[in-house]
Order: sequence, then C-alpha cells, then structure tokens
Amino acid sequence: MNNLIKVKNHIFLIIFFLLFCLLYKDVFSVWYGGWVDTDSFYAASVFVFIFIGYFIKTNMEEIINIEKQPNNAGIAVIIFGLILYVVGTRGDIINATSLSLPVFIAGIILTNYGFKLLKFFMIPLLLLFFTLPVVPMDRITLPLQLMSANLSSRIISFLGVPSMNEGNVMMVGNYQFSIVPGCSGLKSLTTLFFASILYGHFIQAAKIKKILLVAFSIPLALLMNTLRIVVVGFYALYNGTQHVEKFHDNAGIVIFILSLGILTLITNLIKDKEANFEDEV
Amino acid sequence: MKFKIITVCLLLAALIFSNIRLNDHKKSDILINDLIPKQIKNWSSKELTTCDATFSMIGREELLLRLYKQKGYNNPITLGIVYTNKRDHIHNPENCYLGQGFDNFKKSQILLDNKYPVNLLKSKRNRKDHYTIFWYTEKNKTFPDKAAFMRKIIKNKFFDDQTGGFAVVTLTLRYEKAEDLEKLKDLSSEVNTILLKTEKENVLNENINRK
Repeated sequence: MNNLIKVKNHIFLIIFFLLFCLLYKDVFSVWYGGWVDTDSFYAASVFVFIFIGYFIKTNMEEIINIEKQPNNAGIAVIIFGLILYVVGTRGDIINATSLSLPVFIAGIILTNYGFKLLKFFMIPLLLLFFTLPVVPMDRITLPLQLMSANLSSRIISFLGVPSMNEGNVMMVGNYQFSIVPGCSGLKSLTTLFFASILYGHFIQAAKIKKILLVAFSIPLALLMNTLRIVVVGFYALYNGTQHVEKFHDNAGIVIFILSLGILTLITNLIKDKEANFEDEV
Repeated sequence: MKFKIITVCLLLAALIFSNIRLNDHKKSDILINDLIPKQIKNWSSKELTTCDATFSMIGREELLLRLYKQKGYNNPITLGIVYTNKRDHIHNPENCYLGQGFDNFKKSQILLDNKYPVNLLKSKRNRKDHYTIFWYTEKNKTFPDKAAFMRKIIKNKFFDDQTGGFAVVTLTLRYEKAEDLEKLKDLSSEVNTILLKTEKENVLNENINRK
C-alpha cells in the first residue's frame, strides 16, 4: 500500500522519465557511444554523472525543503526545448537535439517547482554540456590542430632539430605527422576543465581564485598537449615510426596524469589554509 | 497539477511533431564514383587516396578524389566531391585547405556558364599560388554560400524531402598562367552539368514512380 502511495505521489516524475526515454531513444545510442569511447570528447562523462549524483544526494534535504513556486515562464522554456528538439530531430542536427534535453529539464523544473529549485540545479544542468554533443567539436578542433602543429614544430626547431608544419601536417627530420582532431588537445582540455570545476566546488577559497583555477586549466591542457607532440616527435626521430603509435598513447596518459598533478598542486596552493585549533584558542 | 499536465502535453507534442512522416520520398543510392565519369570530354583521370583520418568524418563511398589531366596541358586539376545525404558530412573546403597548409585565402564569386554562382578561392601553399573553384549543390541548384545551403538541407530534411544527395565540389590547380583559370572553369562547368543533370533525372524518376 505504501508503495502504491509512493508511486501515486511521483506519477508525474515517472511519466516525464518515460517520455524522455521515448523522445531520446534514437539519439541515445550516439550519446552512449561517446560516453564509453575513451577516445571521444565525452570520455569524462562517467565522472560528470557520478558528480551530479553525488551533488543531488548530498543536497537532497535542501532540495526537498525548497519552497515550490511554479512559474509560467517555464512553459516558454519548454516550448523552446520543443522547437530545438523538433528542428534537431527532423533537420538531422544532433547538436540541437542534444541541447533540447537540458532545456526541457530546466523548463520542467521552472514550470512545476519554481525558480529557486532551478537555480539549485543550474550546476548539474551546465555540467551536462560536458556529456552531450551540444557544441560542434570539429569547429574547435581545427584551430587547435593548427596551433598545436605550429607551436610544436617551433619548439622542436628551437631545440635544434629541423621541423616545420604545413597546416596540421608536421615534418620532423625525415618524418611526417598529421595532427588529427584527436590530437588537438580538446579531449584533455574538456577533462581538465571539468576537473578544475570539481576542485573549485570542493575547496574553500575566494571566488576569484576558483575562477582563475578554472581558467588556468585551458592553457595548461593546450601546453601539455603541445609537450606531448614534441616528445612524440623526438621519439620518432630517434626510434623510427615502428612503435610510435603505442608511445603516443602511453605518452598521452602520462602527460594527462602530469597535468592533473599540476592542477592539484595549484589547487592546494590557492585554497584557504585550514584553521589551526591552537591559534584559535 | 495544471502545470504538470501542460508539461506532459508539450512533451507529447514534441514526440508527435518529430515523427510525422510528411511524404514518402526515398534517398538516392547513387555512388559518386559511378556518377562522375573517369573521362570527361578530353580530360582523363586517375584516382587519388587520402589518409584514413578523413573517413572518420565521411563515408568512403561518399568521397570522390581524382586527378584530371588533359592531353597537351601540363597542369592537372584535383577534383574532390563529397556526395551524401548526411548534413554533418558537408564541410567548408576552406577548413580542409587550411589543414593542408594552404593560406593567404582570397575568395570571390564567379558564374559558371554565366548562370551558376560558385566560389573562386586564391591561396598559397609552399609559396605557390593555387586556384580553387568550389560550391555546394543540391538538386538543380548551386550554392556558393554554405549557410544558405545548410538552410536548404535542413528545410528538405524537415519536410522529409530526401531525394538525391547533397554535395560539396572542389576543383584545385596550381596557378602559373592565365590559361590555367580558364581550364579550371571549363572542367568545373562540365562537372556541374553532370551533377545537375543527374539530380534532375532523379527527381523525374521519383515523380514517375510515385504516379
């Protein structure tokens, strides 16, 4: 009986959930492919979902106690989500279809529960952007590829080895490399960016320091990616190209761990010092 | 309660509008390699290859890459066509050329056969001048502007009108003398004629089949 009452109280949430499953069943396979592929731009999605789950769980009491004030403005937001969804689905624009999901959720929260609850859920909703193909990544990767190729070849030349680039193709000694979208640094950029947001959420520090930490993750990711390309270039120069693919993958893991280490170090430097009990006494 | 019902209705509306079939057009199955002849007038061709990374963005059957040569004329022309019905497989050729090391772009519009607007792109690579003519095409229309082309594709897809395919066409040669530009325009015109004629036949066949 108690279970029936629970179901009755949450019937609309169940209906919303089922409708979302129907709406996104076709595009879900594309999303899922990105989440499980460690080579995709959305490989950090698992950690994003874990964080969102943790965020909701630790704030559940506050969520339940927030005053509910349904707001008509939410209907306009849902209609906007509807337009995005229909245009995206019929016009074959996955970015629009994906964007419609957080817009629908925001509209439902605003319409049925009010602005205070929406404000509370703003962080999880924005974090969804790290998990869904909302931004056309190919627009961003090409300038990064060109920048990485250019910077890497300049560094290698500075270190005394003949190197140049033609677009995203680098020449190091007698060897030629193509800086493909996967090597543009965008994957490590999005992961480090998310990591810096996580750090900023958990530490005690002034807001400006947290903002600077997040901003710092961007040049850090790009410079470390350039370093990886330089290292791979030298490896190929002295060892040939036979095992360069494996070295490239291993170097990527090491460089990423190093980047995370640097980010952690910076976080420890900027966070407020914990109060010393003896000093307080 | 009222808001919840409105929300459910709006979500149902999204489901309905996105699944209504407005017509029963089918997409064309023509492969671009079959569509464009290896011999166009007195231009003969050989197939070119590209790196595997290209095929992470487009299907192998969607790409045509050939080098066309004319007897008595030493400057070959590279023809590249992406022929697809997937909107996100169509890209701006300037991005490709940027990735291949071309720079100093200067773009203008010209007319093929005094009728079809296309882009003329002047660029440099290894300090050598290159000319590229490129355009986007759909059914019996050419588009120099990608934004206008994309709007047309989206409008077609919205109304389920998927007869034929969409294409981005590029022809490039190294520029040395004035004659080179005329040759480039000449071959571009031939390719454009072939593409437009094929789409017209597709539409005609579709109409006959539906009757």
